[in-house]
Amino acid sequence: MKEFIWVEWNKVRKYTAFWVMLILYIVGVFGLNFIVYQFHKENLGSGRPPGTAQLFGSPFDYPDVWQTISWNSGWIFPILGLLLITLMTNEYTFKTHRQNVIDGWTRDQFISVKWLWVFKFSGVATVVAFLTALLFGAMGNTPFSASGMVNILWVFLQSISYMALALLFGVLIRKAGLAIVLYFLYTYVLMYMLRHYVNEIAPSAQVGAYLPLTLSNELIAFPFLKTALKGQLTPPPPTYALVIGSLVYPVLIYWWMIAKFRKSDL
Amino acid sequence: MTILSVNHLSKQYGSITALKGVSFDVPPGAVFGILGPNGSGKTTLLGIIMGVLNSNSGSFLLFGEQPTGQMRRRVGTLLETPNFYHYMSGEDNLKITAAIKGKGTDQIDRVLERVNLLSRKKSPFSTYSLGMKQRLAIAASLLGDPEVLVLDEPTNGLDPVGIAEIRDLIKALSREGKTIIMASHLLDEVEKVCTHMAVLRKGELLITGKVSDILARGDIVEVRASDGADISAVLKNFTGAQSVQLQDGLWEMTFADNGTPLGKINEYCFSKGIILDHLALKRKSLEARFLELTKN
Repeated sequence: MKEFIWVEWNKVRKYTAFWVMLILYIVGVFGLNFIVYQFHKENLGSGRPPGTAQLFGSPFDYPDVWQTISWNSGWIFPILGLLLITLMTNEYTFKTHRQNVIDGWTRDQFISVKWLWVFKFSGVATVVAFLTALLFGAMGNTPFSASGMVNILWVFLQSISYMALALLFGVLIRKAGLAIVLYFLYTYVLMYMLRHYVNEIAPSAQVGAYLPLTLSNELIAFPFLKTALKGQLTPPPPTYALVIGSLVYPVLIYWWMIAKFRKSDL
Repeated sequence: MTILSVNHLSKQYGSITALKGVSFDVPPGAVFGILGPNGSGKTTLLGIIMGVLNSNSGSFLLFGEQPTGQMRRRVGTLLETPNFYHYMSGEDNLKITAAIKGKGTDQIDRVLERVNLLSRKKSPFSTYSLGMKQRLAIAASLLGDPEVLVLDEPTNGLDPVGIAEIRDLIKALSREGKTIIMASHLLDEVEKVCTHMAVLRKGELLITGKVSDILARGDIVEVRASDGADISAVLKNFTGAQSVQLQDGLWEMTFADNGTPLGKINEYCFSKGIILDHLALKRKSLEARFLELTKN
């Protein structure tokens, strides 16, 4: 394990694009939350009709800040996904996936080593969400509260699904440009369309909530307009089902990649 | 124990047959040349042996056992093109190779020096010339002092001096007792360094064995009359002569077997009133043998 981590670390240590994208991710999470925070502060603060504040709630105060930051972070995950696709497709571009196997790794080891990035990036996403929540929480009007901190754990699970799908796109598509475009298209557009149409087919079953990514997205509820939306939204599937599903999909994706890589000519 | 034993290996790319039931053995300490025209299946064969291509049927044993990743660590390989991370220096790339092979980084300077690349070890791989990339790949294959080297067209992209250096390196490695499996379409290269060879054509194995045995199959005798006359008709009637053709002012008689008696040819010509001023047994060149094998 130590050898695998060392090798992968040395592959990115001097890779400028890696650090640039990682910084962009951190800036992106902070920036998006800051924009929403400013919007909320300027438009929904004092001077508005009575009841506005109650309607919109205090998403950047404890304990809601955990949920707000976690939910917002989900929109920036694709930057980490892009980075993971780049790391994977670089291997195809440089043909180093062949060389790593020639030099002594098995095909399973090569994929598993890449899979470590899924966890590493999910760890980064979790830490960044945690620190951002602390930062915005500190700017709020309520004392620290750990209530709702479970949302940070959901960030980890949600991120694993996003990273697993990114890696799958990289492995299957091989070309960086095409893989990135399709990944963004799926995460920002197709996933929502698919969910909508699947739900249309069977409205009572709400199967759309169980699709890859939509399932882990359901873990973190929409954090805004809580009062206004109370009882208006379709209740999400039970948490245990979401957690199990969020773990099952990545496992299936892992085995798919292993099977694909074993069968393919490199 | 053979280093590599290939048994009826076949590979299809759709409707194209890249390898057709190829079998051969590589003995320890051999410099084994895999020879064939472009597209004959040399790289496909080595790709299967090194685990990056899947065969459709057949098998092979490495060090007498079923191949594993662990065994590939005992083999230094340059397959097709040098594959490195372009944004990293030569030295950093070799650190990755060494780590995957489970070797230390202390040998990096030594192998870079052996291929004359030590002074450029800090330069990014993307700034290397084609020849330097090839040298780095050879350096990578030497890491960990492997027992076996698999080199696919090792002199690709090298200038004449570089080719001579790599040839000397291969000979030196062979003297150190290493087994070298080398694919090439450069006949001169194989003839100069290989002890054993296999010839492939369109995925089929045409012949395999010691280079000396393969080249020794059939004699070529050079003959010239003192008056420079056309004596081909007389020579064709000599017992055992398969063909006679003019080559650089000399008549070349081809025989199916070895051991052609030169004295008998001289006596025969004299009996026909021909005085010879040149009569010599010529070793068949690999090129001639190769063309003979692959022409059909």
